[in-house]
Amino acid sequence: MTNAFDAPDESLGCLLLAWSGRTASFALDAAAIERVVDERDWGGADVLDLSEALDLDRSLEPVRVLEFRVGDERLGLRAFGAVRLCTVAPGDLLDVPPLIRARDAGRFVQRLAMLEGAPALWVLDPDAIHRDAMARRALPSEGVLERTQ
Amino acid sequence: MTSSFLPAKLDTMWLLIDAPAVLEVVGAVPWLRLPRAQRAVPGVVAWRAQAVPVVDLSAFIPGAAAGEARARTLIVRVGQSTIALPVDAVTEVVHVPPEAMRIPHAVQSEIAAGETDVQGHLMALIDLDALVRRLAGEEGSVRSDDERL
Repeated sequence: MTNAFDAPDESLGCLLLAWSGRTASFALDAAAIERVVDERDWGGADVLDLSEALDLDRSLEPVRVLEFRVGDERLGLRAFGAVRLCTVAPGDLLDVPPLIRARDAGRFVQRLAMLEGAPALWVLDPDAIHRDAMARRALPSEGVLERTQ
Repeated sequence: MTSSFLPAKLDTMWLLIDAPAVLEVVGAVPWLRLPRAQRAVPGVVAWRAQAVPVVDLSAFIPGAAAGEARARTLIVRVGQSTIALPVDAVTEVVHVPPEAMRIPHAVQSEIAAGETDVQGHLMALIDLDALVRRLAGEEGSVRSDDERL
């Protein structure tokens, strides 16, 4: 299956789909994204929302769902406000060190994208988002907790 | 046998950084903030095609004001980690005999390994290994924006 953003030539760079939060901007590798839909048109499972962890601005419109695949599972991630495509040269994608990935929102990031010579985007790790979603699903719901007390 | 240190100014305090650990002293560099990050590691800089965590020493030193936008950035290698330390100023490397180093009193911090008088200033020796151990979560926790050690 093809994704929504096939890059014409990988040697030209990595195509990223990016959006902005309050304090930083984020991206996913466009090759991992199957489609982008308005939230009202999303018919899949529960949409993942990282607005708290990534300090996204939930008041921004439009609200879109980025559908991406991890293994056999399709996931939807909510993005607020404008999303844009950008091409980053392979040498401008830097691995994020363990010291960052071990803490806070760093657990969701995989690489750092440089734009115009400056660090500009956190490139998210689909596997980490998936792991977080699985961990959340494994947690008992609040109602269950209340009933057991 | 004397040891070599790089004096670095943080606000009004002078610190001594193990000179052989300093890979480079650069100016103020653009860095990318990690959302909701702890004050100790607020983001990353790009240095020689690496993403390097920014470590705000003020998070470990009572009385030091937070501030990542400083005039100089020390790129420091500690074990397997490379970190960026923003400081306000640096001077030439100094050589200090071991008998000149005293138990720290002026700077009450778990990352202060000693203190001595250099060039008319009281300077605190920073234990880089202890700093990285704390960042890695092996020793206690680091403070957030509104916490004090």
